[in-house]
Amino acid sequence: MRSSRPPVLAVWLFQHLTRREHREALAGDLLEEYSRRSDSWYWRQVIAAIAADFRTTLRSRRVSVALALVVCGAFPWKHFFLSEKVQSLLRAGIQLSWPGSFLVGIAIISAFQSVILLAALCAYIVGTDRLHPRGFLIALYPALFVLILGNTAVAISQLIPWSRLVFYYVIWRLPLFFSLVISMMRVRVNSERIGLPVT
Amino acid sequence: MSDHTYLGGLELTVMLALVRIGEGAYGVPISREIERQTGREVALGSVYAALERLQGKGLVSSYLGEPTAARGGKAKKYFRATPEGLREVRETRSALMNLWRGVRELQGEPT
Repeated sequence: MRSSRPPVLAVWLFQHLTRREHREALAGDLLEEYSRRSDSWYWRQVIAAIAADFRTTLRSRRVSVALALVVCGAFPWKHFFLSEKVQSLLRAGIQLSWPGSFLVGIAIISAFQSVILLAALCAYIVGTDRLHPRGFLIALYPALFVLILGNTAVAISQLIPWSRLVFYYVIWRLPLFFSLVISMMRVRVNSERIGLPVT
Repeated sequence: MSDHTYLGGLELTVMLALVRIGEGAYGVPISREIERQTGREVALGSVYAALERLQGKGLVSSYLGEPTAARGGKAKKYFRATPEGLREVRETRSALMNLWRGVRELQGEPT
């Protein structure tokens, strides 16, 4: 028999990756409909809600999107990936048994992107005068989660024969882009909640 | 040139569902009404995103209901079309009808 509660991870993602505006009402609607639907329906709805909110964010948060694009676009990923240090780390990782060999690559890229994410987030917080430790952490956790999840998806997507141009200049930059936008969105939402000045 | 913008596809669909339901329209019945009338399932998140845009344009107003146990203690958010919203729907209909009229390829009933 199906549980009377929706999937925990889907609920967590919904709570952390959607905006406050309609979250409570939408959560209630999802719960109301869930009683006559399936887990997969709930997952589809959560993904659609996150995507719809993200589209709204892209429209309304142009500064954050522009900053994320600049950060992701300016960084020379290809040179970084092909550098001797990264290649030797990856080679060492590949020699591990599975799933270690798979996870090491994701961990290296995610760790490096996390540093860029932290630096960009700090610059955004200082630049917009929204310094608040709790708000910083609330912004950071979901962003790191999205970053790791995104890099895992990118690693799996290498099974698809992308052109090198598309892979290095688009696919590889997506996890950092999404996590940057989400983190800046969360900083802003938290600022509004605790009454910090909103510019 | 006029700065008037007509309703987009999903916005118009949501507005029409809202008007059809009348009082007591919230996410679930709006989504069900769209599915019933168009045969297509629309995600609740997309419905809310459209409602938020419509509210931002002043075409829809909302108010909160009482929290209920069946919804995990979450309140319903009811929506209704404002007079501006109704006028906008009529103007969009009129504009679409003008575009439709006289186009030979679009004559006849849909199959």
